[in-house]
Amino acid sequence: MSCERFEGERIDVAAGDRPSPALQAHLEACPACRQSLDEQRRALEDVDHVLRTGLSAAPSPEFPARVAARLRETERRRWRPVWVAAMAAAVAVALIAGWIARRPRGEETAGPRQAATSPETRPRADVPRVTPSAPSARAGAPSVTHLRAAAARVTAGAPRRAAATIATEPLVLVPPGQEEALLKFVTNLGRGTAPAPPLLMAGTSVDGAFEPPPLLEIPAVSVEPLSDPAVSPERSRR
Amino acid sequence: MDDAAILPGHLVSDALLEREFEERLAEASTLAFRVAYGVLRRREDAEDVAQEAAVRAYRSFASLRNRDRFRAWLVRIAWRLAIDRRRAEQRREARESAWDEPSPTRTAEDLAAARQTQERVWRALDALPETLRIVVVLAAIEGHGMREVAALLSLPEGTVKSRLHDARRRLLETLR
Repeated sequence: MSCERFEGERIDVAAGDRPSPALQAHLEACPACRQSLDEQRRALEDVDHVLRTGLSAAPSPEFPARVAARLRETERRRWRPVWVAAMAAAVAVALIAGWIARRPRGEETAGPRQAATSPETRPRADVPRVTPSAPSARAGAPSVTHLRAAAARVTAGAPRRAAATIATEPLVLVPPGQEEALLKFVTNLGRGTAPAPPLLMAGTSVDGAFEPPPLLEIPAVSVEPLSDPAVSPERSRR
Repeated sequence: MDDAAILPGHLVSDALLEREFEERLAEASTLAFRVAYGVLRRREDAEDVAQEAAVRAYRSFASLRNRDRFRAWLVRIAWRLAIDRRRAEQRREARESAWDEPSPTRTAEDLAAARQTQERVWRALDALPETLRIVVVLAAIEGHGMREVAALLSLPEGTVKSRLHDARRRLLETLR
């Protein structure tokens, strides 16, 4: 009866616990339980041996090469850090905003949208329409610079995979006069000396990009005295 | 000239990241293999799983916040893949017994008994719940004390100890 009482604790002891004084006393008096405990300890030793031996197996010598080959096959995910994308977006927004701020007002009235509303200058169907982004656009319109072309100059001589990555770069609208700033940015990237985003923003001369909007011309206000004395008794007295 | 001097910044960072990945994988791939082996007990299957774990880790390495946890991360991927494979394939027969190199002094009866013991032990291990099984497997891999297992599983050391004790107790009950 007492043997059954200690059965659970005996397993705990076999698994590593210290026996309680009651179990200790029972073990000293009960050879059957002592034998059972020994068997359980041996069983756990077997478990440890099987697991340790089994789990010391090493992969085959070809394993590292196979993993490397598998990784090469894997489509390379672009690991560009997030800040690069954020920085590119910020620069693009800054440049576009700068272009919008710098647009001369007079030009706007002669722009394609205005021209289309004026009957005299309404475009004829046989005349090709000129868009601001076309290379033959008028002076002052934004030019389109393809980063791929700019970067190709920088990475001439770089490994082929560099060109393959850059081929997916987007088109970037560049306001007139800002091409040099963009090329400087790309060149810095090419040299691996791209400054941190805040410095980059400073390097692209944000001050020049954001010109203050033109002042509104408000006609002078003319003041005329009221003629009706009932409305302005003071003036009529004067 | 060094590549870094002519490559754009993001490509330089890609190359550095790739190098770091390779170094960390070299250090942890055997552990991933052994963890998978603890579940599958077939070298080929375990290597397949370890490879797949490496590929998955490679794809997501850039998004890993704490790269010092790479080893634990890879172990978890390998464990999950191995469990999934085991469940899908249900292959319990023809397990490799490479760990049991036949000794010239052992008789055929000894070998048969040893193999039978192995079978019983692995079967008992398979019957454990996953939370206990991973603890037993990691603790049985050489060089892993409680602290290492706790770090790999992101668990308190006390929890690992109690789980290991619970697992051993259950193994004993199964093997009785």
